[in-house]
Amino acid sequence: MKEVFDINRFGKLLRYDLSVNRWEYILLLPVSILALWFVMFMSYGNVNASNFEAGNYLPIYFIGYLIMGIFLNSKSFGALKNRLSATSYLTLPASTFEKFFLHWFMRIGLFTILYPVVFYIGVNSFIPIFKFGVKLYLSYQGAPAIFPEIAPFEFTLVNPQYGRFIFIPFVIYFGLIFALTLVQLGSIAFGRWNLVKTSGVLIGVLALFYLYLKLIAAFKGGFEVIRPNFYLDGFPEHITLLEIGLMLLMVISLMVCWTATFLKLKEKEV
Amino acid sequence: MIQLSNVSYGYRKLERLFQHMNLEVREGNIVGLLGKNGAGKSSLLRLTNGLLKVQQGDISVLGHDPFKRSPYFLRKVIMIPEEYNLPDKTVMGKFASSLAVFYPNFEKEKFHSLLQSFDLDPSKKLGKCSYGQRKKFLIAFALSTGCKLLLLDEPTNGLDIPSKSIFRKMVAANLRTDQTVIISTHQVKDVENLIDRVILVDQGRIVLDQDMLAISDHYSFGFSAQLSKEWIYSEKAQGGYHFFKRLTPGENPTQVNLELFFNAVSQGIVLVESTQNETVL
Repeated sequence: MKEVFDINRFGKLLRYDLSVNRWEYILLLPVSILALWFVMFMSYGNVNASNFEAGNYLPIYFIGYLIMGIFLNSKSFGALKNRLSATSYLTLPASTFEKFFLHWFMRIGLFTILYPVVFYIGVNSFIPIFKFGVKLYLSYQGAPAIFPEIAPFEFTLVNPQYGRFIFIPFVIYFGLIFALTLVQLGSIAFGRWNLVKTSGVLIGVLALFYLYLKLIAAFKGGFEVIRPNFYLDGFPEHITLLEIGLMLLMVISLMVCWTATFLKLKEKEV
Repeated sequence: MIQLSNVSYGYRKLERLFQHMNLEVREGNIVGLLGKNGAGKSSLLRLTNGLLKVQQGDISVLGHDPFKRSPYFLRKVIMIPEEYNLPDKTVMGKFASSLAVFYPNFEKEKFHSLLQSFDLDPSKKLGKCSYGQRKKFLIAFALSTGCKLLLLDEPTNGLDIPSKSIFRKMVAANLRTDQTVIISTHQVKDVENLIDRVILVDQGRIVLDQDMLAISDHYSFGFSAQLSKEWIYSEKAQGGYHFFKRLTPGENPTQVNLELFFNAVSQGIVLVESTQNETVL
């Protein structure tokens, strides 16, 4: 078992990764926050008469997760894109599983945990800056400094338990993680132009899921299998066979993606 | 230590680089793997190191299947490829520290002493080092790891003349008896005083596998202004000919001129039948 995974060796690999990719990780935080500031500037600027409500953050949050995650994961296994660095990377005395898991841990696991924090800091730090800027602009124009209220971002908004139904948050979170895993697989399988090629695959997979969802819509109500006789906040009132099927399909797709990424790394020849 | 049995490998399906190759390398050898460009030397090292997968036959290195890339195998083997990519923004010493932790027998003091011998500053960024300095850094690192097997692919390429000499001294002085080194090179002169065994690869075949001592026991190498019928092979040089001939009884062995011998074997001049430990010359 220690040949496959050893926490001590994994720690050394993590240290090595931080030493080699130090600047990528360090620069990611300020660049992400600046990008968020830009997006929020565009979003708040579109608010005219109505207030910017907390719910408005949700699409920005998830699209931001996807874009940032795709960017980060497209750089996975960067050492393997070059024959020279691939030689050093593959002969580094750590197991293939540890090398695979390190990329998953840093670029999907840790990213998924840290992204809400970065989003929270980015958005909430921009609100006073934006308000101050608008106030300055309006006073310069001689207009009264009246501006719609901007709600701060709160973690509860993106808590999977927040929704009444399990299905939607499950599909969103699994879907996002699946997309990032697919990008990671693409980065090892396609080499150059991996982002373009993986995007094609991702669009194909999304089209398949969309067709499946269409199928769900067509048969909605016809395949109810669970209708619990209790009420629990967050637990669905009913769930259909097709919905269960979709969730299972997503879990299986994710497993297949992980296995394929691991095997691609294991069988890599330089 | 290294055992190749009936190994075949090719980059293209129909074009085999190696066909049914057999090879055994014993512990403690310093082996010179010689051959022309494209002869398959680097591929042989890559098969040994687990970077390539054999398509047919078996390969065992230190009791492991190299392509499984077990961490227990990888920490016992280190390879310096002919070309490499090091992180430009990282300082030499810091990069070495982040790598050294993977090698349980790494000797930090030896590493710093080797850096000093090569006149390298550990606080210098790798991006600011020349090709030769980077190579010297890698050689110093490899010699300090304490790995049982060192695979050096064209180690003297890019080294200046004093560094080549230091390299030879460093390898000879810093090896334990249980360590094995395979040096792949086409610069035969750079290693002829260092190696104790020579393997010649040509067109994916091993055309010679012999101890240096056995070669010097069978052949006498020299330089003469006059041609002689006794010579097996000669090459014209300024003022005469480099040659080798059979060593006659009572004659003292000479130093092997490996480049001359290499050229002769490459041209098929010397008929060599190689067995596992004994070669009929």
